[in-house]
Amino acid sequence: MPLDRDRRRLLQGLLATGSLGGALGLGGALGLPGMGRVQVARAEDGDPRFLIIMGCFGGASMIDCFMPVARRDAAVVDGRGRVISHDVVRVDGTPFSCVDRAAPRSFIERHHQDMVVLGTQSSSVNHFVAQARWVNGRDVHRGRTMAEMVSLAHGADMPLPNVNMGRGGYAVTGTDPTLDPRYRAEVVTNPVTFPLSTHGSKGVIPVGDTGAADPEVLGRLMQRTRAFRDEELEALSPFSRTFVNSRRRRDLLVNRRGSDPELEARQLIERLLYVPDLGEILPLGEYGLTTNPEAERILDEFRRAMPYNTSGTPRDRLDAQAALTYLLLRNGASAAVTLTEPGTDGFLAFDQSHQDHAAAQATHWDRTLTAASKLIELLSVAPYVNAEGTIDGTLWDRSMVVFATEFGRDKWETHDGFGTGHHLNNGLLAISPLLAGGQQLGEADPDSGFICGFDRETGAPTPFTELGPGEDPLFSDPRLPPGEEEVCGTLLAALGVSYEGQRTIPVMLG
Amino acid sequence: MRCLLLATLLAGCDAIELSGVTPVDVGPDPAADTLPSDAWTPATRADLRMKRWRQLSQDLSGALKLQPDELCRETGNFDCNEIHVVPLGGVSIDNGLYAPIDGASVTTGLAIERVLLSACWNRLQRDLNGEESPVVFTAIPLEETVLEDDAADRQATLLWQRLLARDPSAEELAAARALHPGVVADGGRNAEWALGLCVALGTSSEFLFY
Repeated sequence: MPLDRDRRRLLQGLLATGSLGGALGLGGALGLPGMGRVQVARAEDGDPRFLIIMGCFGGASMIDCFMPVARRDAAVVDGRGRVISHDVVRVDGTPFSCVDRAAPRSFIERHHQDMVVLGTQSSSVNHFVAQARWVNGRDVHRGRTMAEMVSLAHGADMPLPNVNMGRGGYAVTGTDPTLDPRYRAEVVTNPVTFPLSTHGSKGVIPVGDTGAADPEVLGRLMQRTRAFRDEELEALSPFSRTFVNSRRRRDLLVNRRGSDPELEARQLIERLLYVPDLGEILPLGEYGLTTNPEAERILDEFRRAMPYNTSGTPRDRLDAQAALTYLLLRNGASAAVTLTEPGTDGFLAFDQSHQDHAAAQATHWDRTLTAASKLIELLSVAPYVNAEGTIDGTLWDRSMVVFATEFGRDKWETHDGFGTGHHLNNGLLAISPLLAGGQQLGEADPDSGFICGFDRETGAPTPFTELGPGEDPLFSDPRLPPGEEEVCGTLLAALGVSYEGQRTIPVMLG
Repeated sequence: MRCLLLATLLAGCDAIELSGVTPVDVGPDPAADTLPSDAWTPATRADLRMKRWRQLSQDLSGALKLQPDELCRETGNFDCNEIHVVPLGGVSIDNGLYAPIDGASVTTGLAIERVLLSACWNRLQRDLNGEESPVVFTAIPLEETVLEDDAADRQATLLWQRLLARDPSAEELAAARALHPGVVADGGRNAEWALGLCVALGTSSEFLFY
């Protein structure tokens, strides 16, 4: 019997990732390289963990936020300029310094106990590649993204385990063909109107007294219609009988039996809706829809999440993404959510640094930190209800926000209003009670702007001591900070996900 | 040993359990138990494509005699093709989504149902309100609850022809007629029976895939 396409694809995937022996439990017996059993462990207490990725589109430079070089210390070198530097403030009672601006200072004051700021070394200066590598750990585990792994570990009972509001490389799905499609990202482009996609009939017809305009009659009609379609039409149709082996057709039918009823049963169409009835502009009541009871509180925090045009586009997409992220976690809909800073121009975000580095970095760090801080505050007071139905801490107690900074920027101020290109050396910010927070790992060198690495056990920095002003470390220098594999492996470990060959940074885990 | 391993797979073992990974299981094929002994031969190369939002709009527009912007507007304002662009196979340049997703997302089926329900309802309202001559729902007394078999067959045939470009089989007509008593028991009229039939046909895989 010829191998059909689905089996062929599966076999190719398994062979490519060296997991074939593991899949059949043969691994070591075959003595084949790279074959080991895949383990995705749940957290010990069985409770879910939540991952929120803040995609810093365009390259968020850590020396322009939480690892700044003070102006008085910055080297000045002929032909290169001055190392990028700032007025720096040390926040009392914390181990952190930052550029002297309100947003970074406030962020430290509110969240220092859960913050880990560390030096990192990206492996690409291509936007999409670098973005993708910071969400998949540079193929750290079978090509799956961190969000897919967390969804797989913690989102089995959730209707939308993995939601992605990102773009570019942050929105790229993993490459593991064996992953259950349920854990692939559900792409959301408009957080305002996305809830309308989570129900097949509610809110479609203006409410009335007769026939399908009566919501109860419509509900029963849709149940009967679906049963008729799925059990009768699909069985009798010559087309369906001919193409019964189509994978794409079967994917749709699987969703109809599984996730679609779950989405509707949870009433996510209203639980995820944070925009109130706006009369003629958005006549929710006329269509039998109501908004989440927390809508007013959410809009108090994220004022610019409201729509402003007839396409329902939010005034500020980042605010809207954060609002939806909160509701997804609050309503037990998702285990992993990805946001991406769209930027003030809706496109370049941090990459506006090419034109004006200082302004771009300040603007977009402030935006992302402010949105993340508000989201953390909401999660910090939102109770987590465990499987037994009792309140067990807050949602924030088991969440993590990762600022996927993509890559760094050039380290030198060359002239007034200077722009910068891309750079592999940078840092990353992770905030979570699941980490050994309150740590800065690595430090910026005032002679080059490079952020150094650190001892993985103790956290002690590994500075470039013998290098003078203007001398850059080689990219083979062992004192450079860790890359995607180690960092993502560590973050996943804190989230209760383990896999063979996982590398971690012990000092981050405590 | 490696030959044995490959041979085992090539022999066609169906499910490979990976720790933490559940192969997609659609369950028993609904057609399997109903195939007669002179059975339909399934295609071995079943490489179907799902109609994307533009194809869906064009086909519905033609079938239901509605302009594309009359098919579906969420809360009467927002174009469904914009709201549901990603699950309906479109792109979103503003959001850096330059290529459509492959296949169905979690919300694709629901988005399609919304579009079909809206389009069929809009056509039904126009045929009911009498402002213009009925175009699609012409064969049955829409506001009544009693439905003669031949009228039901005529209306069902019209919908099959418009949406699936073919005549229904005798079995399909019988199944469509059998839908009616339950719809009326649930509080619907002939209009709701026809609406349900329109939605069912328009969301069937025969209409959605090619």
